[in-house]
This record gives sequence, C-alpha cells and structure tokens, in this order.
Amino acid sequence: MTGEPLRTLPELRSENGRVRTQLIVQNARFRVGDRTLHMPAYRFEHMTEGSLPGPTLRVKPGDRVDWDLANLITPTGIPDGATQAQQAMFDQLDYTNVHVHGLQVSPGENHDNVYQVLRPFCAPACYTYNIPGPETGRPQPSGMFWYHPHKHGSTSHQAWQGLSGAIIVEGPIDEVPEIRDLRERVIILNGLLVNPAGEVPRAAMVPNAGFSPFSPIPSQPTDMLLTVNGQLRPTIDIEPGEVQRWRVLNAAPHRFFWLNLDGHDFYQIGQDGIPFAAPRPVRRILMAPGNRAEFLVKGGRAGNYALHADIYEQGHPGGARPGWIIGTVEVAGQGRQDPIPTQLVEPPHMPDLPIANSRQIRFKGEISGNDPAGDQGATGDGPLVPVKFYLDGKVFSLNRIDQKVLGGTVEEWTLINEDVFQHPFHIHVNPFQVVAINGQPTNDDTWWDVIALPSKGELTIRIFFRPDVSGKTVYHCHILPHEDNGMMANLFIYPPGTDMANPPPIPDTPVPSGSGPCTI
Amino acid sequence: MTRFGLALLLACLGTGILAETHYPPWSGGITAPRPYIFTQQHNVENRPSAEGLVQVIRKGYPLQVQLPGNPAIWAFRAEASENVAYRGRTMVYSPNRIDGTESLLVFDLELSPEARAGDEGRITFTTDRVPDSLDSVIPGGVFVVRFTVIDPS
Repeated sequence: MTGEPLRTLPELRSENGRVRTQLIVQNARFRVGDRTLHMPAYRFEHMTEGSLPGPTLRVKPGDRVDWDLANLITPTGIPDGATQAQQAMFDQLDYTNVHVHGLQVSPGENHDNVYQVLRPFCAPACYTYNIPGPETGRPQPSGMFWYHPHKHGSTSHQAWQGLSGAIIVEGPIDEVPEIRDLRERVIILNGLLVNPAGEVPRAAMVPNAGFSPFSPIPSQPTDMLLTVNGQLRPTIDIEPGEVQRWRVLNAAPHRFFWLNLDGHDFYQIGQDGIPFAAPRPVRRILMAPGNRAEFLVKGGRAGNYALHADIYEQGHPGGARPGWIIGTVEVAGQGRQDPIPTQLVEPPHMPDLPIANSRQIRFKGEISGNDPAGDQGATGDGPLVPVKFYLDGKVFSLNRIDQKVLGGTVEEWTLINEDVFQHPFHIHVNPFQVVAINGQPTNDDTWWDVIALPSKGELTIRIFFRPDVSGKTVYHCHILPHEDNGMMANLFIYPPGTDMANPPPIPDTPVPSGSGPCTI
Repeated sequence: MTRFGLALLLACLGTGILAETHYPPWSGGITAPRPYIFTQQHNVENRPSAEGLVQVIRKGYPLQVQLPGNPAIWAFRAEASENVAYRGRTMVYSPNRIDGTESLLVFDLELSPEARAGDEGRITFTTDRVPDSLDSVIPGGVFVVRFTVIDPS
C-alpha cells in the first residue's frame, strides 16, 4: 500500500533581486495520517494559510531579502491541571525569532540575529539578508539552506512543532545541462513530538527509552511522527530511467536520518548547500539534525521501493533509534534514459592561508537530573536541573564571549566529544571542512555547516572566516534539546585589521525585557 | 530562566486544582496509546523542591517507569503503591549515558481497574544500591510518583 503523493511545498521566488514579505507564524490544524495536529506554522504574507513545514524561499546570490517576522502563536500542549500561573511559566516557549541556517550573511541586529526575542502579538521584527553575490569574490554557494526558530530555550519546542522551511539559492549548479531540466523535489524531514491531542507538550522535556524519545514534566503520553513534507509515508513518483533532483533537509531537532532507498543508489551533488565538483554515488546518506543532502535519484525497474530512515545509534538513552519506512518511491511510466552528469561546478576552495589559531571545544552532557543549576561541577542546595549540556564546562550565557576570531583568517578547531551522545556541531555564518577524525587526516574537501561528532571521539575542522561578515553569533550542538539546555556559546568575529592583542570591547546584547504576549 | 528552571517551579507549585477543571477529550487517532513515562526527574520523594508535583493521568493510558540501573536493581513496592498494577520489567542496554549505570530498567504498569476519576495514587520503587550519580535526584534510593486520575471521556 502506498501513501498520498508527496506534497510540493509552497514557494516564493525573488524578483529583480529582491524579496519583500512577512513571515508569519500562527497556529493552524493539519491532518497527518489519522490525526489532527494543532501547532504553529509558517506562511508568507501572500498565503492564506500556514504550511507544515513552512514554504520555500528561492533566491540568487546578490539578492536582498527583507521579511518581517510576525509572531501570532497561541499556547498549545498545556498539561492537564495546569493553572494559569503555571501555564505562564512556560510563556517563553511561544517566544521566537528566525535564523537563516547556512546563509553567509551578517548576524547583526536586524539581520540574522539569533538573540532577537519576539513575544507573541508584539510588533513584527524586521530582518534583512544581503546574500553574498559574485562581487564579494565569495558568493553564497548554490544549494539548499533553511530557516527555523532560534530563540534559546524554545528552539527544540518549536522544531518539534515542525517550524522550518527551505531556502534554495540558485546558481551555477542549476545550469549544468544534465541537471537544469530535472524534476526537483524539495523534501523536508521533521520529527514531530506530539501528545494525543496532536500538540507539542508545553513543558520541560527529559530523555527516555522507547519510540518517542522524550517525556515532559509533568508527564503526558507522547508520540514521534517522522514526516516528509508534513506527510506520513508519502509516495514519490518517478519514471524508469528518469533522473530526479532531491534536495533533502533534516529539520528534526533530535533524530538522525540514515537514508536509503531500496534498489537505488544516490548520486550526491551537494552537502549543506555547497555543491560538489562531481556526483558521488553512495548507497546511504547520514543526516544529522540540520544537515542537508542534495542528490540525484535514477528510477530503476517499475515497482514500489521503500525509502528508509534506518535504525541508528546516536547515543540516546535506551539505545538505537528505531528504523522506519518514511516513504515509498513508485517507479512507473514509459521509461527514459536520463544521463547522470560527470562534472558539476567548481566548489569553493579553502584559502591557502596559515592557520591563524587553533582551539579546542569540549562537549559534555549530564542527563541524570542529579545536578544543580550552573556550569559543570556546580554545587549547592539549589533545585536540581533535569538535564544540562556544556561547551567547555559551561552552559550558555548571553554576554559571555567564548571565542574571538578575526575575519579573513583560517582557524582549526578540535571538537572533543566526551559523551556517547553524537553531538552535531553547527556554527553560524561560515561553513567548514573536516580535516581529521580522531587525529587521522580525512583528505576530504566536503564543506559542512553541521557535522556529527563521533561518540567519545574528536573531529578537527578548518574554518575560513569570510572577511566581509563580522559580529556576534553562536556555535552550538544541533540536537536542539541540548542547545536549549546549555550547549551553545558565543563567537565574535572581528573585521580584518583588528588588533587581536588588544581588541575593542564588545557591547553587551540587551537582556530581553517583558514577558507574555503583547496586548492584542 | 531556563525551561527546566521553569519546570522546577511548576513542580514546586504542584497541580492541586483538579476539582473544578474540565478536560477536553484527546482524539489522537492512535491504535495503541503511548504511555505516561516517568524517569528519575519525576521523583518527588525526599525532594522538597518537587514534592508538590502531582501527575494527572487520564484513564486508558499505560504507565511506564524508567530508571537507570545495573548494577543497581530497582524493585516495585506494591505495599507502598496505590491504584496502580505492576505489569513487568525489561532491562534495556544503555551504557555510558549515566555514570555508574549500564542499563535502563523499564517497568510497565497500569492504573488499577478500580481506579476512578478523582482518585489519588502512588507509584513506589526502591533500590538498596542507589548510584552516586542519582543520590540527589533519588535520595535514599526511594522513587515515588504521586498522581490523580481523571476520566475526560
């Protein structure tokens, strides 16, 4: 039995180098399988209803995007028996902002500012993104990027609600003759954690064993829906011999997707939005939360083939996350013989610069619930915190600058995972290459903006901090319940020419004021 | 304040507001209801900051307690439990997640058939070898969840 046809997500395309819209997030109801879900959803200004997941934005290098984020979220997932006062304690789960993941744009105020806090029904927040064009000498690569909420403390809650959308940057790879006219699929994988009312619990979460990997405090039954464009096990049609271009995003906050398609190989053409020089045939693709993979699929013999998220051990309590069939590929029709290209485009190169600085970052989590609030090793008689996650022994602090770097330089960071949990490292603005795993060279020029650290192991990455983007931003674990519970830190990128022996002071980011929704 | 800090405040306040509350039905469309799961973080025994936390449980849903163990072994205490029936134990391999434990002990339970809306209940497990890594969250090796039954159907 096959499912309903895969949805094509709504799109908005730039015109004459510009996009001007509102990005509205508002509660809506969605039919998913045999359930009705009730959760916030994104829509653009011209749309009459929200989309699960959000609509796609298509732009080109050099474009300017202006959108105003409007937060119209109303509370859902309220625990049975909670009083108004108790509900208000979780108001911040409805605060939001938006991050354009992978775009190499300014992180400053009114740009890709993840420190923005937008409460429900307050005045919309304005964001402008100047997507690097050819004139910068280092244009935004052409590929798949995405947008999602990044309000520290509510990021995972809103990701479990499916708040995510694709950003497609079109460029040279779209002109490759064997690719230009292919049918394209924008595919967003979500992990929706819902209670029996179809809502994400409005509560603190703790990890557990079983199919649904988290429980709220106080407890509610929860289920995990692994959706593809908001659908359960949809069907993707393809003709025998037809080549399709799939752009796949793992927008789930926690689940790794180890993708494979029965009877078919994937020809990967890009990773995290950055194209390859030539297709790479692979049997399976592992996608940590936040990763994108772009690949070609060539229809085989007529028939139905299961698309799997294979069983995968990511270090969660209770062992491997279970395997799941997330869709069906139906091969049918006349048949054709589309070619697989042998060459793609010239990918960006790591500048040939000396390593300006080497750093170590340590990842450690504590899920016993046995520790009081504070950094690693905190003591005292204060209330215990259900889980804590540290970078270099510290939980996130808004105005502690954890790393200061100089734009226009290359650095090497060694990321040390002291846990069995496979923390996926993500850094804003600049992508990186992995040069060593556990000290052994990789000889791999793939660019990433999310990379899963090996359990009890380490990666060494090389980053070029582009010279034309400076300011305060973050790096963090992209398992979002880890990020929300401390595993994030601040990075300040100084402009070229700064005297790093005596750098200028960094102004504090204002602490958000006010609470609850604004008056309607 | 972090969301978990908020959770602790919620725990402190408890949920003793059941008498006048009406609950909407859940129509999840699930063929096999998922359980209410309780972990060491749900424990209220010997924890002043959490002792007000009363779980609200709808009839018709299974219950599950998951506690880190091995070598510590947790045992259900029927004599210290109320309105709950024990339905078995599974030891799940879960090494290197919590210091001093190699497994998760997963206990299946359900509300007693005679439990009615408004009834209060209690789930108790104990161990005589509580690991150091749990000595604050389950002091003395006594794990207790208190609950109230509701029946919105």
